[in-house]
Amino acid sequence: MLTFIIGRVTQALAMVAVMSALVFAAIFAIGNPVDVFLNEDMTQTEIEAVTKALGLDLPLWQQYLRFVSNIVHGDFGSSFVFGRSALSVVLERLPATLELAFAATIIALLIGLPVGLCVGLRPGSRADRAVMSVTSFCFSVPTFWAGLLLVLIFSVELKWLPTNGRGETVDLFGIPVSFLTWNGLRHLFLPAFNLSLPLLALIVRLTRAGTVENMGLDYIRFARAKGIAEWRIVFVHLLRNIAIPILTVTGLQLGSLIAFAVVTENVFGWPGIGKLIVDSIMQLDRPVIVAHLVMVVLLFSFINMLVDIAVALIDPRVRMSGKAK
Amino acid sequence: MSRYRSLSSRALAATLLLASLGAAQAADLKIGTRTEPSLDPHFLYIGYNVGFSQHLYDTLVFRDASGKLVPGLATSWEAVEETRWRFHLRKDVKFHDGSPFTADDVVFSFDRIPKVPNNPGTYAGTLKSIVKIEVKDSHTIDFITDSINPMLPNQFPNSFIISRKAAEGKETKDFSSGAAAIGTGPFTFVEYVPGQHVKLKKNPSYWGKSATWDNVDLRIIPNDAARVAALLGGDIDLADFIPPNDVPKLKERKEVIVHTGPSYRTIAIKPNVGLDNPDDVRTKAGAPLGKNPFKDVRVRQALSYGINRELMVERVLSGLAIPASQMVPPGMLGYSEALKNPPYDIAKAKALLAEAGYPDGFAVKLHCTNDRYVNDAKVCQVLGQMLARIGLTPEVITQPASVFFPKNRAPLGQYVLSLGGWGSAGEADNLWTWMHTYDKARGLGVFNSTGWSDKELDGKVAVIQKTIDTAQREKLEQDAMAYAMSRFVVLPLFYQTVVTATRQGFKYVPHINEYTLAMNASRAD
Repeated sequence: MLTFIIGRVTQALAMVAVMSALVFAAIFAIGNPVDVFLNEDMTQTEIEAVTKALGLDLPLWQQYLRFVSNIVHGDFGSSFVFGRSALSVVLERLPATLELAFAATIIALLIGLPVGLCVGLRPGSRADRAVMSVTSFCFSVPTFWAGLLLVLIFSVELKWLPTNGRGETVDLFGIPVSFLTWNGLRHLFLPAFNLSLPLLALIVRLTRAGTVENMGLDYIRFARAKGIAEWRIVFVHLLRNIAIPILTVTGLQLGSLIAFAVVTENVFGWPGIGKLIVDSIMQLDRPVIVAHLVMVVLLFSFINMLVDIAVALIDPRVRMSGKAK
Repeated sequence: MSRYRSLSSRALAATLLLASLGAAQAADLKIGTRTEPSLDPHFLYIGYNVGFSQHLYDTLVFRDASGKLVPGLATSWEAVEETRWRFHLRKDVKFHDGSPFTADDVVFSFDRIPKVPNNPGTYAGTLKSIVKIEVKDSHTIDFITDSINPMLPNQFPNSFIISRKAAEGKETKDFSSGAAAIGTGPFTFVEYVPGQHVKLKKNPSYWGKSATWDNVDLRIIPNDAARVAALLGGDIDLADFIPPNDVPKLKERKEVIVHTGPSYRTIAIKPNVGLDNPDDVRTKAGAPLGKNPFKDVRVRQALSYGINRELMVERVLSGLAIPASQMVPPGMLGYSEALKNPPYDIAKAKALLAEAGYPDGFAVKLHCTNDRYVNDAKVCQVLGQMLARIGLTPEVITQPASVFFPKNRAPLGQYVLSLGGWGSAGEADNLWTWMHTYDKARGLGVFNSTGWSDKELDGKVAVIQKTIDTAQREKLEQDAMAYAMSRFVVLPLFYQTVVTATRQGFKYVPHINEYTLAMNASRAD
């Protein structure tokens, strides 16, 4: 177990190193962020002074070395746009994205599991066919379009829910969250639902497929022959067996939801890191871009590791050891 | 049952009445804005931030809606010697924390402006001519400039005054937290949640015109569609930067009003005359042309004849722009009614190209941004089509501003033909920022990416910069602009307009500099 965790952490760190070097070089190739913010009163003298003050006049390798040595000291540099520590700019937005991603996952599981089970137990029924077409729709509709449609229907026309923003937040252990107030929940629902759509469809399909497959297997028949109650068969024996792929996929998807909530956050004005990365790329705010991506890589690796551990706990066939790979 | 119903309906009526009374008493304004503002008025000089800072902070000199200078924290000013300006400061002005405003705060603010660390967009440029500041008494201050600078007061409307007591030793992050965000402006800081909103409250002891709003909630919604949806859904009262293409739809809806006004920004084509054998220009067969056709005034003139500015404004910008004939918008110093565009005339354009030695035209790359100006990518495509009609083979390339600008900067851009925008600061300053010969030492031609260098024009600019008298200055600027336009140094296309939308029941006066100002919004009674 310990070897496994150490291996994963090393992997994650290597990934961070490679990724940060790539991003650094890419942004360097695009150009000088100072050019993006030129204003009518800046002369060449000021432009050069500012470029020098930001250390942007140095050759690439020197800039990178300087950056790495700063990171070792926990300093990602100061955002060009906000004038504050890039890491704190990212960290203060992270809770919003995490909340959105978790809410989306919970919605997807709460709706996806029962629906998948129901139709999986009656394959070929009319409900099954209807659910299958709806899920194809959820997969194929672009998030952006679906989001705008949700806003138009529920916010602009029906005026049931607010169009955007995070609403009221309350501090939970010092972290601002929306889901504890009614106003915050109303703001959270549409974006979370929008973000959950593809995952929801995925969970419905996985649950259905697992159910259909497992219901014909020997252990279910044996359980039936033993006279075990149907609900017990479904919720104890079946669910435990189909849980592994669902859990794995949900876990992996949670990482993507966090990293790629970009579109939903923009449509709903949700102040998370997705909205931040788009703005930062537009403005070549390199410290924030790098801090953001490092954060995402670490989160991603961490979640994957948790998923692997959880799977091993549920399924005794999976054993974690150095030789598993 | 009936009694119950009438009771409940009465209760409902009473609640509604109370609710409407409540709404009338607390004047709240919710703004949906495109850009995240900087709370530090000396950090990141972009137009949007200048507008935002005006809520919390004041400057010595204000510029009114028409671009004229009016007293701000300074009540009057005069040039006592050629290189010495004296400013008399307003007395009895208090900062939001109650401390008095004195000359020392001006010294502190001006000293801090060039020193804000990690600042890619410095405000220092406006103050560069000041070599020394002398405090005469608590409310009189002298600025000594390196040479005669008649424009000094014009350079002050963006230099915000902060409090030494509140901000000494503080950083940009202390402004974001509100600790140092202490100004003398019409609103005071309440809360800033990055990525979400800035909340402001009325400053009850403001020295100037008292704000109409008790509370202002500035919500940051960069996505255009989301901002418009928020307005339609009634979550906000006002949305800035409405995309022109949404305007016809919005005008049909009863619950919103669209407010338009002229903008300070002129959009133009910049032909590059500095490149000798640009890769961007080729024969139609694809072979290098061997020379730069835009060095020939007839080719630049042909482009101007070949552009149908009226059509472009109507189709691409939904009529929300004004065809431009010069590089300064109407209403600003130096604008000349007499200056007209060459009429749209394809035959004339073709004839001019033939005369210049290109009867069959040539292939040219046209570079534009796609996220900087209103509908810039579409403008670029339409321009491409118009150039094709006069016999050129254009290739339209649109890029994000972050890619475009580093490649197209002074002293010589890489693009032979590009789209650009210029926001005039109250007068025809484009003459010395775009069209004057690039001169690093004197800070002239700072944005001259086209390599234009013209002794006659430079001479005219030199005279303008030494002229203090406004009427005389106007004449000189008009004359210089007429000359530049006759040489087709740049080809102005149109003046942008500022489009803001509010809910029914609100009024808004769009600001020429595209600022979003709570001060310009009011209830329609």
